[in-house]
Amino acid sequence: MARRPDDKRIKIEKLGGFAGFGSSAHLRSEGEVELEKLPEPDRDKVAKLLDRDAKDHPSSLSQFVYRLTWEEDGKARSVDVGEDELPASVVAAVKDTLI
Amino acid sequence: MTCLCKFVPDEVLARLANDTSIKNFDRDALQRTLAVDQEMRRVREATASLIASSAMISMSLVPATKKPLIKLYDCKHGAILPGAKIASPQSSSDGTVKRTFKNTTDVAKFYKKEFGRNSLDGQGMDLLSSVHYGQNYNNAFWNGQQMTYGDGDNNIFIDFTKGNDVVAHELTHGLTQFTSQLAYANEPGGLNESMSDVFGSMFRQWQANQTVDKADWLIGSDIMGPAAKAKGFTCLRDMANPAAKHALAPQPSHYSKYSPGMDPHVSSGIPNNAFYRAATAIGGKSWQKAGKVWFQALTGFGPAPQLTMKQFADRTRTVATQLFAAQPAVASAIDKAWVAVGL
Repeated sequence: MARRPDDKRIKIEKLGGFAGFGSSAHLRSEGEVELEKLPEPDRDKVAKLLDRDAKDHPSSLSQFVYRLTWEEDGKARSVDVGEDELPASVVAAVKDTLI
Repeated sequence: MTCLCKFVPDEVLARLANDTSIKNFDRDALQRTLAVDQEMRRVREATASLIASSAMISMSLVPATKKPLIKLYDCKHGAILPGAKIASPQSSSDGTVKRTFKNTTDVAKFYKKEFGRNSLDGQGMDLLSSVHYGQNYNNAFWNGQQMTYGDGDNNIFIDFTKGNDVVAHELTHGLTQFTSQLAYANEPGGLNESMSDVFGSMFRQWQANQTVDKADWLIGSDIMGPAAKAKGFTCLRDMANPAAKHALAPQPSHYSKYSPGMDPHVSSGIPNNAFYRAATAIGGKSWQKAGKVWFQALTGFGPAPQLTMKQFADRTRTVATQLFAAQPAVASAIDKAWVAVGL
């Protein structure tokens, strides 16, 4: 059965790309979604991604990686997924900013 | 269970491909054979990538004289690749399309004329590019089969096709994929990114017919948006001064600052700075000497996914003495450049 986070909130951070988001670059791209508020097909897709082994990292030649972080059993858990694996509703939840 | 039947084992092909007593032409053929062989294994093991990988292998059967076709597609701000085929990109009224066609054509010419490389795979593979990808998409990428460009958000970044170094950077990921096959993590990941920056900058200089003293050595300076410029960022990365405050993505320039797991876009500053130091010490045009050495070190030794920065540095030292035996100053400059960055 696909995972359901405790508080149903998933923090999303976009990493990498040609510009190197989230590294030492002055660039961040973050957002948050509530799992239950996503359209049903998107919700199921994301819930399945949360089941992925946290040690699996998508290989990406300048493509973005998205780090999904959520609370489960009182602990913070995270998993990295490729940009083409996420539904558009989740991709659209992050905002690119300069820091 | 998959059956992998091979006449010549990979280790034998790899040994022969690295044997400097064998003519370059034959070594290239061995390297291609090895690359195809390994690709066939992946195809068998990963049925999900069967179609794409098979296409890659079939391209190796095409005569080496085949000229690459430059093909463009319009995503029309969607995220489905490749998008709609563009009939005559060279005469398009869309500046993004026309520019991408010109720069991609020039990158193919650059590799052919200066390095004798027939497209990314050495076999004249067609170069596919999709433009207008996504909404406010702040990126350009090579996905293993094609190029993709976003228009930027017109705030932090503008249209990524405006950077000729961006085009060459991403296409060079393809060259790396078909040659040394550097992994995309840790030291080989930093090298992979650096190769793309090095050849991206070199291509920019080549298009402008610049000598090293006239080059800006900046990466991404043509795609900075108004918000980034307002904060004083003039580029993404600066090969001459990787830690510069005007770089939106500052990097280390000495190996002592490297740590395992470091983002490849960060660790690439170390080999980037070595190339800058070598090329400027040698003088003239970067692609004529330092570039030749880097190209041979990247493409002339067969697949090496876990190559370390020190191993790559040593390759360039060896190659420099071979390619420029009568000009010891070249090897000396390259050696000093690597020593200066801690390698």
